[in-house]
Amino acid sequence: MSQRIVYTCLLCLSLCLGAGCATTQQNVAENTSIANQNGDASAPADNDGTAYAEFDDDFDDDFSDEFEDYSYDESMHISDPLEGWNRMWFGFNDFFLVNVAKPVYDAYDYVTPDEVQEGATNFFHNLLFPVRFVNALLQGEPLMAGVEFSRFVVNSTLGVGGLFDVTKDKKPVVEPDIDGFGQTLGRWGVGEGWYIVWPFVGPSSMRDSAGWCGDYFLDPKWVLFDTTESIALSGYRILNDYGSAIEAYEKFKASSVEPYIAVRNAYIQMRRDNIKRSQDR
Amino acid sequence: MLILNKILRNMKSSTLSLCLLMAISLGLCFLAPTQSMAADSPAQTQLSTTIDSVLDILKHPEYADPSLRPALRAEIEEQIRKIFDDMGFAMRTVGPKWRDFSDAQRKTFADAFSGLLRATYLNSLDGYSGETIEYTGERYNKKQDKVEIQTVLRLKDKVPVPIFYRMSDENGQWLVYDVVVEGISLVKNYRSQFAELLQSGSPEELIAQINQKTEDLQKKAAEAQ
Repeated sequence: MSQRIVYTCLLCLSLCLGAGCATTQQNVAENTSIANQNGDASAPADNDGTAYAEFDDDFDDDFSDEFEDYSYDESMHISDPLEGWNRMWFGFNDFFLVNVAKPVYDAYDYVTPDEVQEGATNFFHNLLFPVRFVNALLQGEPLMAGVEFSRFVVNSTLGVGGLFDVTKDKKPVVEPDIDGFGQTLGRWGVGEGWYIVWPFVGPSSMRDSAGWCGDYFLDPKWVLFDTTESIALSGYRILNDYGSAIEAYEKFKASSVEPYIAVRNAYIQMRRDNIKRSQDR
Repeated sequence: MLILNKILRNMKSSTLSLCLLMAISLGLCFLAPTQSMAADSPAQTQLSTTIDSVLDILKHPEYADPSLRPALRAEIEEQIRKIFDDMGFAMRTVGPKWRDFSDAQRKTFADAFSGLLRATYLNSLDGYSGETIEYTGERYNKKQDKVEIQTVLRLKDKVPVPIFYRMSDENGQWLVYDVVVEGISLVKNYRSQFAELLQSGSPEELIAQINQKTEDLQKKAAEAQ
């Protein structure tokens, strides 16, 4: 048990250090990006008196009619020195997803009533409340932490231990947008480091991998249940949530001409958007 | 733990439920309803008119009939083509290398690429089952010749998907030049792929690869029917 924690800490630390060293100019670009772009049409006037929300660079400047100003496109770039290695795992994951995970999920989906699947989704989401709550606080979002807390209290009680999402139709004061420690690190300005494709798990960056290690410590499963039970629960949770992931992946792969690059780019775009949103709040 | 037990034991059950009730109501006050505002602009009107007419066709009972479907499909394509900037889309996905394309190559590329987009997205329309679209906001650039219309697609029993349509003003006509789904810009995503493929291959090879992909998709769709 203690050995596991030590190993995880070491992995976590090395990833953090790696991510920090490998910080690219992307980070600078993010920080210097225009402050107000939360998409609110009623954004207040900024310093020079314009009442319009400004766009990030790519939207405002990149797509002027000529291409003069963007021969190097920031948005496409992430350091990927392990490309050969990553491509191998990408191929492996692709094979695994299509030939192993999908048939298993289809069988599970066939025998399991929708209500049970939804209950399981709700239960695991509720169980991971500490991850969202603590990260909301780390990001200085007391309102979001409050909403998460309220949902946790209400769903754990009225929702029978989180099996039912009774707060689903209640509009919160602010919709929490907290997904984990990777996002928190990003918001703090930690660079994303190299792109990594993990077996079974899929695309990630050094920063986000370090984030997963952080989330691991906030996962109450490891305290509530013993190791075997926790691993079984994690496995079940992944299986239960696989459906939409497999569907999205297959659709995305079908639409792409170079799947490895397409997935890598989509991952970076999604994460950068997520972190930019958190920084602009 | 012991202390907690003692407290719980000493508390009457009514006090306990009162505490619980207080916790829950405290919880609910964080979940008070809020109102979101919506505004209409020419770009949004243009976009929503197109989307509505496409949804109307999809809802049409005749659409469920496979023999009548092709005609309605053609109508959908026509609707989308009117608001979609094919050439602009193609140009932006290629990026700076567009300059190396000859006029003929540009034309073939734009056709091949819009063919791929049609094959990808029109097929997924068939699974339509009462999705609703909510317009959540819009933002202009400073010059006011570009706008991002922000929408949320609500699918039945699924997590809502934020979809942003980026449009530019082409002589008074607002045309879609990029679609951003969950923060992922379609144009940028294709541009990263095409940049990689153009690094090692010629425009002709890229066009051939795109056409191959479209063919595969159509074959798969035909098999599925």
